[in-house]
Amino acid sequence: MAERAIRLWLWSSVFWLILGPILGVIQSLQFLIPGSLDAYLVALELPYSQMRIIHTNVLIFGWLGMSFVAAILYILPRLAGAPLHRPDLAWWAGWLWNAAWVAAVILIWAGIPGHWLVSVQAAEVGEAPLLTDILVVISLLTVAYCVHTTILNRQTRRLYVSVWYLLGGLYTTAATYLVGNFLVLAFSGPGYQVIEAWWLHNAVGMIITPLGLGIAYYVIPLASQQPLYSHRLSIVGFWTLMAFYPGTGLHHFLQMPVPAWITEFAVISSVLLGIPVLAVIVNFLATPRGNWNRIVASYPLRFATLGTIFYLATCIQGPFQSTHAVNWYIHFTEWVQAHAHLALAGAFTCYGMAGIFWIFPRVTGRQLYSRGWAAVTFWSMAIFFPIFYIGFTWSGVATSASVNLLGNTLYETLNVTWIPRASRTIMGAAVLFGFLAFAWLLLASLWRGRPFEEGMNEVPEMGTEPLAAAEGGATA
Amino acid sequence: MSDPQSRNREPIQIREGHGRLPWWGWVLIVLALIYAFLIGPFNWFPPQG
Repeated sequence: MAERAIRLWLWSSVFWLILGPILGVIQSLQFLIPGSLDAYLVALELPYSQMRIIHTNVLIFGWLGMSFVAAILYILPRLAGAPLHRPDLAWWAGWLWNAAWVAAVILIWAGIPGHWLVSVQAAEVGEAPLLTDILVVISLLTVAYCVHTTILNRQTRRLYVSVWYLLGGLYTTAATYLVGNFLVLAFSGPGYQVIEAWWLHNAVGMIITPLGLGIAYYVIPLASQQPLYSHRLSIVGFWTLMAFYPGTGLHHFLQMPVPAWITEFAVISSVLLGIPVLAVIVNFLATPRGNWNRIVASYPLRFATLGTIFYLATCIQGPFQSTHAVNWYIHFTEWVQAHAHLALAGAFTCYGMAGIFWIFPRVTGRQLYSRGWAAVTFWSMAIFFPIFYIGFTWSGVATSASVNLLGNTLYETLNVTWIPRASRTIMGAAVLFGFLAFAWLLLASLWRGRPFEEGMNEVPEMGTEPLAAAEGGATA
Repeated sequence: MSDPQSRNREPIQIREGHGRLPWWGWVLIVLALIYAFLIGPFNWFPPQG
């Protein structure tokens, strides 16, 4: 039953991974060739504004949320040495989560005004109607109950750092979601904006980040067959993340009329985030040291390492752009969305895929059938995604120059940004192709994949014989 | 293939080392502290120049 629940969360996440980027590519086309799709979108009654909301919500909560919960349901019982408590509830929670976001897609699309339960809410990334929020909270608390009880039933006293991140991440997810989707409704004016900023950034920092890092902390030592580089750094990284991240949100609205100390606190917190990032990056890149050749054979390690490179890039960029000196220039431009894509579509999507590539053979009993399709996904993320990101960022820089330095209107900037926008659309479509390859590989492996035994590589061409356990390394 | 339920109960132990933060890590932390408190919060380069 536990495997059944994991498979439900896993397959659902793959569905959302395909739906979200398709909408993203359509949106980018609207910037490149305005009006080209109007006839279809008017017929569908799906304007850009609603499509954007669906795009962001289903990717954050559908793809990342569900793939991370699949990993939690797999990883925590193994680290605890205890079976998952009430896997039937975890399975029902998966259906509830899916129902919540299917309802969100339909209701955002329908755009029913003025209803307390089914109308779109005025909070970025919290636009899903109250009906979705209620279903999500019930599902989340159910998962938290299952995995927390599993940890209470554990055989081992020691809690590996992944448990800290994944269990802690579930609780910060619950708290953050409650603030951003319920408490925010009670405020208005600057107070509302402060709460909204807190939610907006912590949707990434207190939901996606701890869960994604918890998966990487699990996959990297096991896939590289090396011990984790530093226990101490992992603990320092966890607690400094929890200390500095919650205060960062208001760097999104540095120009708003609130007391200066609040925005300065956000800027200082944002720069201090460099400390947990440093701890994480050192641990992730130093752990496979001495056995880096495993990166050739192990796709989970490949994706986790690529995710770490994207994570490093996004975490260097973030603190700089949160400061006044940089923020005035890039605010209101696509630079910001490019940064969000680097974190969510780059770093954490890679961590999600690393987790799925690790879990899939172990819950289905099948190896991934084709190294080629795995390589298509990997290289589309390694080559096309950075070009997509550069086009996105370039578009933001050009937009700011056009508006802030040349005095053009935002609409006029379309004339000076068509090259980066074209690059964004074409490369975005290439990344989407990589996602389709990922989905196809998983689906086809169900009937084409060879039987998997613990210790084998996930991809058959890399060796069907069980691997020798690394001396002094991680043991499975 | 082993029984999925029994696989789920197999404890996994990930060994941990005692590596230290490299010296350049401490340099980066000091730079982050300087940037956070002395440069970041102040509007040194406003749009008007």
